[in-house]
Amino acid sequence: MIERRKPGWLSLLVLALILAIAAGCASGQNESASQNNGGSPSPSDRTDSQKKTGEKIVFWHYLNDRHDLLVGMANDFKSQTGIEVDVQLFGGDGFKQKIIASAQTDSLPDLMTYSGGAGDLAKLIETKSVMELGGKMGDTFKKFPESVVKAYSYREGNPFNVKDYGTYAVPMDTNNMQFIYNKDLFAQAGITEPPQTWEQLLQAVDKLNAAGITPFATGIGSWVIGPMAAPYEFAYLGEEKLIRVKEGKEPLIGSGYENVLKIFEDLYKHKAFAEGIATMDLPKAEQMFVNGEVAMIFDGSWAIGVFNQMDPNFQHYDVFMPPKPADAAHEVKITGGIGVPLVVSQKTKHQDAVLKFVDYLVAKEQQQKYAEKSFNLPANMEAAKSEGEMSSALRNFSLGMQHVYESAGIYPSPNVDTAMQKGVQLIVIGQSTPDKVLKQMDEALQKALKEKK
Amino acid sequence: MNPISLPNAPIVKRKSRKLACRRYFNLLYVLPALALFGVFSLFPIVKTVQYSFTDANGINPNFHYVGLANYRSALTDSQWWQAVGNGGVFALLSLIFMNSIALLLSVAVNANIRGNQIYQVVFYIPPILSGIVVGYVWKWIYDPKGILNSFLQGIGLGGYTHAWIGSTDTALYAVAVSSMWQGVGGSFILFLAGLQGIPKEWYEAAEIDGANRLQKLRYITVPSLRSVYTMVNILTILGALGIFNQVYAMTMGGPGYTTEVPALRIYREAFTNSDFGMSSAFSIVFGVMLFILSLIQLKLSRNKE
Amino acid sequence: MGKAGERLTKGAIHLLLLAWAVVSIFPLVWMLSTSLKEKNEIYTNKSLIPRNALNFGNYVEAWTAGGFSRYTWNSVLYSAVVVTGVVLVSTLAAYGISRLDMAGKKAIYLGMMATLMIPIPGAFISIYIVVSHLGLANTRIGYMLPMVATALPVSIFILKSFFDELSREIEEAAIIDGAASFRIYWSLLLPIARPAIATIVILNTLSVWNEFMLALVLFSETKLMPIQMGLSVFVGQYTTQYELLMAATSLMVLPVILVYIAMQKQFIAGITSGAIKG
Repeated sequence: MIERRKPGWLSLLVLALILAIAAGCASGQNESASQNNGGSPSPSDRTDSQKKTGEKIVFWHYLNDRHDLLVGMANDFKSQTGIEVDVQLFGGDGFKQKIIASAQTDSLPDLMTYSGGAGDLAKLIETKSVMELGGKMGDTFKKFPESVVKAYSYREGNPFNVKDYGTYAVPMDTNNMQFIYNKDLFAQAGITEPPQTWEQLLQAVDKLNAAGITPFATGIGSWVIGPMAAPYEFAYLGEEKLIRVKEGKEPLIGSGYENVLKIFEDLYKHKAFAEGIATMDLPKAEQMFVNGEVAMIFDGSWAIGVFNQMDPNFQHYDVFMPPKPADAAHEVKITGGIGVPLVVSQKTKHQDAVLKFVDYLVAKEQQQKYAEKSFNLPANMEAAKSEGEMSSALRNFSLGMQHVYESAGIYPSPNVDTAMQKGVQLIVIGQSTPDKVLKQMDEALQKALKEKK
Repeated sequence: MNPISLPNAPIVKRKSRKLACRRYFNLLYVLPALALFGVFSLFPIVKTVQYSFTDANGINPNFHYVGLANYRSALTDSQWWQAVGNGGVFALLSLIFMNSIALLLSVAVNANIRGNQIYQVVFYIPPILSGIVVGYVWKWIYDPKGILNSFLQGIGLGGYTHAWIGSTDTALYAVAVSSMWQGVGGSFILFLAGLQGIPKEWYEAAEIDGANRLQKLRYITVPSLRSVYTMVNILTILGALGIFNQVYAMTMGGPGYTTEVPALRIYREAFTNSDFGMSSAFSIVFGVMLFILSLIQLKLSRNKE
Repeated sequence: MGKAGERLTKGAIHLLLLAWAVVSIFPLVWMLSTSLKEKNEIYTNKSLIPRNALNFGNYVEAWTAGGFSRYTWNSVLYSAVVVTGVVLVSTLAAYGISRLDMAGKKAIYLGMMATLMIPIPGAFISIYIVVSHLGLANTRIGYMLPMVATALPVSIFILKSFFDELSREIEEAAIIDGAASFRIYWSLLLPIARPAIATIVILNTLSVWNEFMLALVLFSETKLMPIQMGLSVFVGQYTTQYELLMAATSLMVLPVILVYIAMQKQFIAGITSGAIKG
């Protein structure tokens, strides 16, 4: 006789199935009543009255380390205005896709922290999913530096083909990327001043090597290449020519762009890079920097917070701007912009409440609280700390906001950027040359231009 | 393959109608599967095929049809074929090393050795971990100042230290090792289940006939595992060619295109380039290749029978 | 092969098993060691030995900070329901395809297998759209149904291969005795196929347990989220809290191991009931 052991746990599971279906249907009814079409439609706002009690807006964000802070701010806001803010945290890399998916089913939340660049947001503008804010919040925008506001502003002739001109995001914070150096290690190598020119930087690299110190590391294995190359794109080509070259209106080869790639080759030739650089990501480089394994790193202003978290005792570092090469005709401009943009859904049913909350979030008091917790610089200029309280590194990063570039142009296809990134990864280990990579970039560019026609 | 072997039927016509009826009645067995499949799996596939002929960006419901442009671009893309080649390397290495180890382990465990239950659990721990965690762990092992290099230096092979995932000559194999490390457990339990399906009497009868361990292996175990073996191979190839999480965590396809794999390219086209058209075209091309490969494998195994 | 030969083989077998056990476990030592380190030790203490070897504080913090009790319960629920569903549906289908005469059988089978091969970028987005159109967005059912659906091709593929391998003698005896196909399925095939089914249970528990993207996109309320959501909280915008992440991962591994151990009994049972007295 065959053992009938199977039905034992099988029937248990079937029971679980039935229970779950019951649970699922029950919660399904509750949930679909408050379907996410921008928050629960409560009776009060249907009557369009000024009475805000009971109104609820939904706020999605991905800031793991600031969730409690935001919930606290939401509670304060509620006690002041009676408007409830449902703060939902969706962490990890998937936030971007969650926004994309929700946009496709018209279920974006009232308010969200946006994950993506100006180009990505442009696509949501095209589908009329997000709300233009410049017109509605003119006063608020005056609190931010212009360069920051421009990050998600689209004017006539913008490279993303956005026709509904305006500004679509409110900045919660800002950041920029520069070089950070370890003061102690520099002193050890006999370097007294941070480099002001590219040649001086190479000299510093040589001195560090002579002292047995690994000079430099950064996230070459990831997106960092673009921001690191950008200052030199501006230095060698200048803004106008750079934009024209990237749009294919001027040839890439012979434009002088190979000099930008030569930056990386210089560093390789002077043995500046730490081992494993080709696939290194930024967090790994930051670890090495904090442990004193490298003397310099190219990183963003958030690094200050990161270093603090990794080792609060590590304080002896400072910041310098990407140094200009002697043969560059223009000034250096650095990569920077908005760390966390706030975006509002076009389909929200609680426009007034949402805009009120946004105003609240970027008010001076909240910005100061936020800046203490966040790793980024506050966007609200009034909230910036007085000079005396800042560390030198923080001050230099703050000052850097003035040198952030507005637009570095965009290629007709991201494949050109990919070609550059992959190419630079090989340059830094000596397996390719600027000319080779430039050719590969041009191939991708020509292919993209042909397809665009 | 008609398992319903009826004794000689005098009334052929009635039986054949009954047979035909039964053929449709038996569809009920696959009905639940088809229903679920039709609702949830069919739509994504159809969408993918549709997208492959357009310039869709995955967000805007409006897009234009571009005919075969995406396919033309995909088939002439040298980096894509390099990615496919890399996937092929993973598949080959997995088939040769990973499955052999898994097979040996499953045979060993099946021999009812002391403590084999503990071994079974331990062997299955690597597959349980998410690809990202496995990526982290191996990144730590491969770190230039990490444990692998320290070990090599410790045993006097200091000259072999490397930036394992940072050099073009070792990156691919380094990732392959970590992927195989994780994959052994999966193949292992499939082989084990297959071994369990072999009736014990066959082994007992063979022993009575005086067969030793090796002969039992050769004449009973191996032939009986044939269809399981083919299935594991197909799954291994699919898994190896479709590797994603670990490459994403360790190298993002770098340095350059050294560890670029098809799934990474498809992901990048969809979510970084917002080019769902190209991404879908790559997916279809990839799917067709895999399908043909699997068919060949099935055909080969059936011929052997 | 004499006694000594036997001993040698046994020894070799032990060696092989032990060796691979060490290889399997070793990288996890890092995981464990990281989970026992203090926050500021992670980057400064490079060795495998944490300063305080019994520092389970991370586990506590990971459990509470990640809201793990709720997520764990959700994942247990989803695993149980989805796996049951998959086992029922796929064994039926695999039995039908492997054993029965069925109209269009080959086309159906190949069609399903084809979908295994096509990697769909953002399949979870398409699935979410379907679920949303059915009005099931943000519901448990809306999450579990697609999970069953997407698990079917692999499970059917594996089961059919196992079923093909099994001997048909008992079945044919039963058919001659006049048994209907369903009775054969329920009383004869399923018990014999226990190792195969156990395998499916393990594999599917694992994939449900590790699923993340569909849940992220489908649920807008964190209280319905599965356990992977809890982990994502530790991966920040600029830093990852490795100590909490590794502690949480270690915790998460346990339930799956428990399922595995439970299924192990099925494996051993398979050996004895594989007996077919022709």
